[in-house]
Amino acid sequence: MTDRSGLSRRSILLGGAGASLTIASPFVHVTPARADKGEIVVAGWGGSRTTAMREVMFTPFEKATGIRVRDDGPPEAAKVKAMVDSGNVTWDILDTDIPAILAMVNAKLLEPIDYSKLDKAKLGKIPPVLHHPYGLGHLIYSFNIVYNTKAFPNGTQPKTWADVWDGVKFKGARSFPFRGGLSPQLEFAAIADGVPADKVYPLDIERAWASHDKLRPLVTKWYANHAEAIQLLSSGEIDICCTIGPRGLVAKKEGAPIDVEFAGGKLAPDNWAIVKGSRNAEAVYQFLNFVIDGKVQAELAKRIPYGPSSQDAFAHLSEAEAKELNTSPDNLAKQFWTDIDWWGKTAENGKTNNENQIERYARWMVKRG
Amino acid sequence: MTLVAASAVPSVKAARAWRARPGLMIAGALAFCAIVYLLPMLSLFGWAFQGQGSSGASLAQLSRLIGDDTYHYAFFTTFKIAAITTLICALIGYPYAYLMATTGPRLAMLLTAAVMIPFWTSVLARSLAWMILLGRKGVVNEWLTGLGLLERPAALLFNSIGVQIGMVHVLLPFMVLPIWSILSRLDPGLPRAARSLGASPAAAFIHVTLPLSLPGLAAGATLVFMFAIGFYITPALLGGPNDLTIASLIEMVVRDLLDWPFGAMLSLALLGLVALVFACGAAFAGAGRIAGMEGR
Amino acid sequence: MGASLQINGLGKSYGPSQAVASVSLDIAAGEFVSLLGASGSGKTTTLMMIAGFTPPDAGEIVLDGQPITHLPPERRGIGVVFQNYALFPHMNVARNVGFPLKMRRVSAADTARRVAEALARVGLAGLGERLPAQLSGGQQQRVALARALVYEPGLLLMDEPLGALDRSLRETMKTEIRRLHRQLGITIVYVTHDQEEALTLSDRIALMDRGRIVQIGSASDLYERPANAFVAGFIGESTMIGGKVVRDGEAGQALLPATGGPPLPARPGGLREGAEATFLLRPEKASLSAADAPGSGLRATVQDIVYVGEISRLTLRLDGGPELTIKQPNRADAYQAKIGEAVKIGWAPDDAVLLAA
Repeated sequence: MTDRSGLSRRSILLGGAGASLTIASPFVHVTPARADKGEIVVAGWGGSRTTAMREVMFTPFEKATGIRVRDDGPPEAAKVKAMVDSGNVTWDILDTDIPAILAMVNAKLLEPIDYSKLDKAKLGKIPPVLHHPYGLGHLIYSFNIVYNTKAFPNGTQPKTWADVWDGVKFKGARSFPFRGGLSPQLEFAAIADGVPADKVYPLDIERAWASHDKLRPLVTKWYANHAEAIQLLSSGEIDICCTIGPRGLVAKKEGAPIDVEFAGGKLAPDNWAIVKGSRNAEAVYQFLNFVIDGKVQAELAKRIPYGPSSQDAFAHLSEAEAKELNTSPDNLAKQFWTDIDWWGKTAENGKTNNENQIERYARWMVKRG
Repeated sequence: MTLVAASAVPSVKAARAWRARPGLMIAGALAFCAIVYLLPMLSLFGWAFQGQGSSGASLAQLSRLIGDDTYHYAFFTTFKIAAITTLICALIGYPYAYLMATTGPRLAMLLTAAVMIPFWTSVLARSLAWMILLGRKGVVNEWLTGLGLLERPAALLFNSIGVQIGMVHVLLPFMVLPIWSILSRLDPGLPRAARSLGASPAAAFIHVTLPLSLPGLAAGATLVFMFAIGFYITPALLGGPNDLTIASLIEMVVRDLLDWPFGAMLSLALLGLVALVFACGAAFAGAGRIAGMEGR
Repeated sequence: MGASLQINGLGKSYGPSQAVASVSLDIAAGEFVSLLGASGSGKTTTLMMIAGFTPPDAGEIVLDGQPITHLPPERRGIGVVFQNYALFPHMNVARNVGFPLKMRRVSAADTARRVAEALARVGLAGLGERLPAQLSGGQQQRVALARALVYEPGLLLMDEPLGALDRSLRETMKTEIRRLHRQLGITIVYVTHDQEEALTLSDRIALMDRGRIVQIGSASDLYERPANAFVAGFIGESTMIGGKVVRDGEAGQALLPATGGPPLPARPGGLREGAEATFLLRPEKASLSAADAPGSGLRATVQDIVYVGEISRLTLRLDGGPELTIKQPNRADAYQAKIGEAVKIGWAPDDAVLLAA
């Protein structure tokens, strides 16, 4: 359920005893000097996303408050665990998704968010579904049907998950995410099997898996990261892909033969979360109040096509700009929100649904091979 | 080993001090090894066998590993992929190394470069290049269909064919170099003597050249097998669902499920199996040859 | 059981350099012929062409009447002993020696018997289980011999077989090789750069230089009657002096040194009077006497004396002429000169040779 897991940022393990290295590397993490009082460290994903944030959030915030913002990352749970366990916490704020937050909450790595310290008016523009006790949704990604426009020109693309599951009516190679901490796309499996989108939760796990079985022969590639998925789509190796819609839009803008079908999409937030042991609480809340502003979010949305969480942002965006964002009122109506509570719920075995389904996904993949 | 050597290069002034007290240098090197290799290994053991709560040791992770056949399948897949890769590397690498060792210097240089150049580019880049070449609309399939050899594009990617092409490409140098190292130092008078004694070229090869180069083959096979077991970028990018390796599962357990005790147990199991392979190879080829430290 | 070998006009070039140029040899069955020469003289290339490892560019090789020029080595049935023995390090001695029999599909019982015989013949009985690495250099050499002889080839080629052995072992092995040659009656072509080895072992020596055979003949032919200055210089010690041929007495000839001095009497060769020639005298052929001793001789002064055990080597300057080197036995009945002393030197004209320059 995350946007940004991928090989590119994984520790490289090609040495002799590769496996032991994978495990060992998080603990030889070298820590930069501890941020002083006038500085906060935001751990994000780098690249164009951080560049855009620097431009519309970090720099204006520094000018407004005098508090420096340093960026670091990527905000992997394993790194946070190493920091918290060693008592040497150098990050204050994370920009990350719900599954990572749930895993970190389980491992007691996060501070709960004190909503009383946030601006009521700005908060009110953000849907309550995004007010998680440990994460405040600020930027919305979505899993959508992303397709190659050469394979499906002029609106012939699959428009529902049932279409994607139908290999007879819609010929073409499918690709779905696997690995990288991605949960199986059980909601889509259930919907394809006939469950109405508004009745997906609580998930009928067994029914969803039975439907997921039917998807297996249609999938050419279980991709490991979203960049790979977009690459496969634009080179024509794959015709239909379940991946992050906004990423499809970025590729489309760059001229790739790719488009996004928002119908049936699954929305989920990237969130601001606070690392346990962060000693700059005041600065952190100042920062959060600054960046949940609708106008700031609108500026960000102009640079990276992820939906702003604040509905106030659309007051600052043109109609054309809004149309391509997954949280515009029209697109919002076609999609559904990921049920964070359901995925975070602890099952009988003491693990969360998320953890159990990730493991079951691996088991399903390995054994059915 | 190279890491130790590189990190232990002191300044000239320091070198003088070291030279005066060689014991210090050895102690330093040992300390470095202990910190860099031993401590993480110990923490691995710690996590793998830590008990519930605060005290005591536990075999819970071990019994979980023994009880969950998902991981057994993944181990099996990993070893199967590694074994096939090793076999293909041997079948391609031996004749290649033989040609390298017996041909003229110019062609030998060309062959060496051909096997070494990809060796110096990143695994990720090479795997991505294969995706472009082997895809449904990739160069290879365009040619094959263009020439009328195939009606429809062949499935070369996202299955075990793709994995093997990618892994053999990455690992072939590790097979070629040890074999070449032995063959190039093999006295050319030996196969010659065999010929003079009545052996056909084939018989001379089977009775003399091949048995004398077996240690190189064993060293190459052990290296390739060990590396192949730890591979995961290439199977992840070029493979299908049947090519899920244990390294991928370890990554999932450690990074996504944050289940470090179980991840440590999986890693130890893998490490143990790799050590077993190394021991078998060392028994046949000599540990020094596998580690590339043999004297010339 | 030796085989005869004819080589006609054999040639081999590597790019622009000619390794062997038109070499012809006619070797009788049972003969021992050495190819003697410095490195690069083409002797090993010639041997490798006979063995079949190097294809010749020109010429033909005939073994026992059968042309073998284009046969692969394994079908020539020639025994080869290599410079470094080329024993198979992964096989024990018995398997090494049995290898050619295995290639010839000889039965296991026959192989065992013949291997044991071959090892006994070279004095290695009972060492069949050893690995080559566990043997001394001399023993390895014997294994190589046994292996090359076990299938009873008619021709044995040996490429510097004693090169890697120390001096005393070399002597022993020389005796051994002579004994085997005599016992088996095998034809041997033996490559060496060591003239002493060639002189002591061979029936005939082919002296090679720059890819050609310069002279072929018995040891005494080459020593006493060298075909030219190269042969004379290569084999044995000698004094060589350039000059013109002059008449000496009624039928004799002598050389008038270009540097001046008295005419030096020599055996009349085929050279015209007045021709440019080289005078050759082996140092042991001259005798020394006191300046005032009776009899004929040339007057000279002793320049230097080097004591080398059984002889002393003296450098003399002929009065008004060139220097000569002679060997004087260190015996009480031989004249013992001193440095600076004026002496008389003489030799039988038949012992000195005139060579075309």
